[in-house]
Amino acid sequence: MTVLALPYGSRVAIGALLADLDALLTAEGHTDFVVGNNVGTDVTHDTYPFVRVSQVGGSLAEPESIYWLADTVLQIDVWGPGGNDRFAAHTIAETAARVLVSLSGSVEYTIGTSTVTAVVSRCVVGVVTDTTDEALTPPRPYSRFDAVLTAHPQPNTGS
Amino acid sequence: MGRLIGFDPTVFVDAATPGLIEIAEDIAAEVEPHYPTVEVAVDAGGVSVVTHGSFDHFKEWGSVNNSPLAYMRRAASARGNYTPEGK
Repeated sequence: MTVLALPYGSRVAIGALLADLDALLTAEGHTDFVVGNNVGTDVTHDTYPFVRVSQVGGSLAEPESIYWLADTVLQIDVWGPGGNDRFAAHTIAETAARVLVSLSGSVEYTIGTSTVTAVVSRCVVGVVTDTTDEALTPPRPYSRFDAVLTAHPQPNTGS
Repeated sequence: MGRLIGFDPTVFVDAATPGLIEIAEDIAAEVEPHYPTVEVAVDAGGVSVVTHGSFDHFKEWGSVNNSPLAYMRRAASARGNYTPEGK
């Protein structure tokens, strides 16, 4: 029996954000908030803004019958670029939520040298929470939301 | 501060959807090693699993130096039908 790999939910989200977030921010006049390549699973450097996507578990839609459709829980954290951080962090997070909620159907993204694919049934996002990251000195405003990405592998991968 | 005469909070326990309390207790048991103050609460808002630890939010949601560990959400989502915060 062949068991297909489930879609890598956080990489799907990262691919979508790298592809569409800056375009939407720019279209809505927030050119100072563009994130460039600062979207990833780890905050690896000190340049902001930064969007972190963490995959924090989830469940199979039909765990008793088929290894196919997964609900992946994601957390998205946004630190702003500095200056008017509260507004920036919130705006970037809210814009990112709209990018993710727009995901639907067959998607394919190239991140670095690897490709991620999935068929997205839907992405349900929560409401943005504005808070403060006290691990930074001085504490920096940041905003976050979580989401549930429902997706299955591309059918042409061998089902 | 006034009080509701004849108010019996146990009605919430009786009214809770059968099974929800058991699911909440399962979630609480799973996260208890990480959140020792965890408890199941039943009130007019429904069935909840809550913690009272001062640093539990750091474990759950992370910080710039720490990825979110999300013990509570992992336990809840593993039991299906997880709804994002604020939804």
